[in-house]
Amino acid sequence: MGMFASFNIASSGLTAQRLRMDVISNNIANATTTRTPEGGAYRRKRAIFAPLNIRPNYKSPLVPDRIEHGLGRGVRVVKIEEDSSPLRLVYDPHHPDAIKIGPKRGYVEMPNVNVVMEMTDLISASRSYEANIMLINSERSMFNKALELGRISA
Amino acid sequence: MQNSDVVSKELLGVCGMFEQSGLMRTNYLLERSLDVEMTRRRVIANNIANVDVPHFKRSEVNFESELRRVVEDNRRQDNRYPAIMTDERHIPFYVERNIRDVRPRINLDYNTTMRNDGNNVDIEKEIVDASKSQMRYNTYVTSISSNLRMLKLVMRPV
Repeated sequence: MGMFASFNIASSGLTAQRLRMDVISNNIANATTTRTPEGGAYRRKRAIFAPLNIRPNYKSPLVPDRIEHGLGRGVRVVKIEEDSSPLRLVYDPHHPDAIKIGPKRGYVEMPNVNVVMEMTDLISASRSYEANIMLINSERSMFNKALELGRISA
Repeated sequence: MQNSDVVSKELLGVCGMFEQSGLMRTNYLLERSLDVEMTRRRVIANNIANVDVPHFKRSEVNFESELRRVVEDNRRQDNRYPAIMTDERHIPFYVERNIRDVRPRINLDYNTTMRNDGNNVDIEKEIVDASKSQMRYNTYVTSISSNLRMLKLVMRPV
């Protein structure tokens, strides 16, 4: 662990939380999108996070518990995954994307985005971002205190 | 005439010894590190300024790892096997590098992508790097001034 380990960890957190906020704002912007390049309505995306470790933690038949080695190095975004929950159906037979045949005739598939949930997620992401910033600031003031030790008073 | 010549020669010798002393070497490295931090701040400022330019790739300054390699190479004993060179075009196994020849290098980080527009500037990382650079700068300044203060203490007339 170097001199700036906690800085690097906090900056990885900042990056991850910003990406999470980007994903959330994309979800909110596409809350009523009914056509996508993949076909069908927009599906809610979410960022999946995983810890960054110095050494890989392993699990084997001999060592059933997962062994963690040392401190972590921060967080990283593994992937941005689609939410597979069912799409919302709204009855609107004159909509150009309405289903033409079958028992769901006249219904439009709307995205599975719940705007209220996205807003709470947004607040959570923003608070985590602030927490990381605070960690950086307190680390910096600690460092400046440590620097005072190096000054020989004239 | 001759007397003053001898004195000046002695003085030069003493000055040379002083220049080669550990204190001056440390001070030289600290001074060079200050320069490097200024360069690094310029590079970071450039990265941050170009955060919204499509296909811009960030750069970074590499000095410390290079310096450490030189110091460790000079300290190691196992690479001192002399090469038998019978021709002037032969290349020796090992050339000792002076610490003073280490220069900061600006590397372009060209094979990563951060966003869909091909830009790879991570604004949080750049700002934290700028903050770290500032802290290192403060450390070096404190270290230099404490070194000079010690020197002044030694040179004080009794």
